Amino acid sequence: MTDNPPLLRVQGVTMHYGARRAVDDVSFDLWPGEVLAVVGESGSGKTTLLNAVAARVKPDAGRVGFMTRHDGMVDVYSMSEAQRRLLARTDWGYVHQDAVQGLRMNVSAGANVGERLMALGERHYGRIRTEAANWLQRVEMDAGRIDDTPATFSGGMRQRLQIARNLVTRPRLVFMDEPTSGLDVSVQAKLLDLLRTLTRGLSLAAIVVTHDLAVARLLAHRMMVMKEGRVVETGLTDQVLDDPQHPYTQLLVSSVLQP
Amino acid sequence: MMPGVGVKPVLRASGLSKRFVLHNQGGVELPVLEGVAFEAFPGECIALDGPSGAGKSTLLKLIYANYRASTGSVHVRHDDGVQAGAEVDMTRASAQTLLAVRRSTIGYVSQFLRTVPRVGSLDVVAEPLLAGTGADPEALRDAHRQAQDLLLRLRIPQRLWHVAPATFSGGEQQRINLARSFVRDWPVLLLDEPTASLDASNSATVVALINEVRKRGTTVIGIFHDAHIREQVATRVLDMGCFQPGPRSR
Ligand SMILES: Nc1ncnc2c1ncn2[C@@H]1O[C@H](COP(=O)(O)OP(=O)(O)OP(=O)(O)O)[C@@H](O)[C@H]1O
Ligand SMILES: [Mg+2]
Repeated sequence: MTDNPPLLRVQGVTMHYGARRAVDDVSFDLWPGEVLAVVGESGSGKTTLLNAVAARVKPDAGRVGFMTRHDGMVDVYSMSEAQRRLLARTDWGYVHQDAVQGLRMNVSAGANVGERLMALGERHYGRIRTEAANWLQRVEMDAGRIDDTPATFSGGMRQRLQIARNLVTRPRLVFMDEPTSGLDVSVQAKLLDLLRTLTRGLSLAAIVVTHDLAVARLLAHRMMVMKEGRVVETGLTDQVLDDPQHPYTQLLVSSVLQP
Repeated sequence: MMPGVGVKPVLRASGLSKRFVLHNQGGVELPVLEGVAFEAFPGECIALDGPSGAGKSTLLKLIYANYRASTGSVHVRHDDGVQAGAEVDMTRASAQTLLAVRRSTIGYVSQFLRTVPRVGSLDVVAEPLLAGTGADPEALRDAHRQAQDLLLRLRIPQRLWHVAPATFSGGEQQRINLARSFVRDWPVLLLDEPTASLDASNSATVVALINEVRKRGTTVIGIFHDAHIREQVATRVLDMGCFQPGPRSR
């Protein structure tokens, strides 16, 4: 179990904004099927770290190794641009806080889901459409909306569509940036249930950035607490929430009701 | 019951202590447990005995690695699929190992059930059986059958089986929690006041369940406030008075 190699190995990632260190020497491993929550106040560097790890913005220092399907552990920043783009479209997913950033708003829901299949070389229209309809159902959307554009969808539906679009290629790792914030509380709860069912059911590894400790409690096996760009505490989710050690974590936990 | 010669403990705690440091309340230190040392053998039911605040729940949480020990160790025999009977120190093991131990070696019934909003009772109870089986429909049917048996034994009416436990009464939630833990056999089972909000007939069922798993070899470590219940299940009492922090550390 512990001897299995990690899926992702992050070492010494550091990012500056001008003179300020937004992410300061962050290292962690992620195992297959493991959900890691990154929590901390806004401005603590969570999204910057996520972008560096997801190979979207090259860090000033540090390495991000990913266990590829065929070539073992590869540093994502030493890959060619084309390899990196293929990885991001197939074996990885990225769920944006704002679904508008993760969707193409003026093409149909079906085309949004089908796009990644086409990136994998699928050209058969009927198969793409069937698979898209199948995924709309898995994220509990009405398959009858397959020809509508996301512009006509509610926030919760857009987020579901974004998730379907990411999962259709069966990625092994999904990055999520505040996947439920900005939604009504009742919509949030349903989306969280869905995410939990999907991550557990598909043995999906995920890094979930959130400022909401209840999201971490529900989704994550493990947590990492960030403050001013540094990791101040890590542990199993229930350890960090029930027996926080660092003053900052204690403050975070005590300022919410029963996370 | 005394262990036979050569029988190895399933669990051994040694030099275990816990002190809380409340950083945002002036850094006050709360020493709760000190010098906890004991061994637990297969088929035992150890009742933790001591007044409110003595650290009984804290000890169960240390064993489960929900709380992090300040000093000491808790070694648990864990079959990791490679080496049967290898020992894991719950105070030091990696997150991956702790999760593996919680999947197959240590079961824990806390006083509170944390439910997932929309998951129905039957699925909540069946979940511990499904870890690592993927979506195999055969395994799912099997797990549901076993979950139903327990829901029936614990008198959860059938109309509630597909309702999420979030809205259940305290006693109903506790029974869901118990069903979930008794649905499979664990080498070690931790019970925090399992009958606290149950009526007499359900308490009797829990007593029967504890004695059944114990006879199959499970080591039960529990907190039983009701002396009548304790007499019916405990094979040994562990006095928490021995583990109170001394005046030096106060
Ligand atoms: N997470 C925590 N943070 C700070 N203090 C804690 C925490 N958990 C427990 N304590 C303290 O540890 C002491 C022992 O608590 P514990 O719950 O273990 O007692 P107990 O013996 O189970 O009591 P009871 O019989 O009332 O349930 C108490 O003083 C409690 O306030
Ligand atoms: Mg207690």
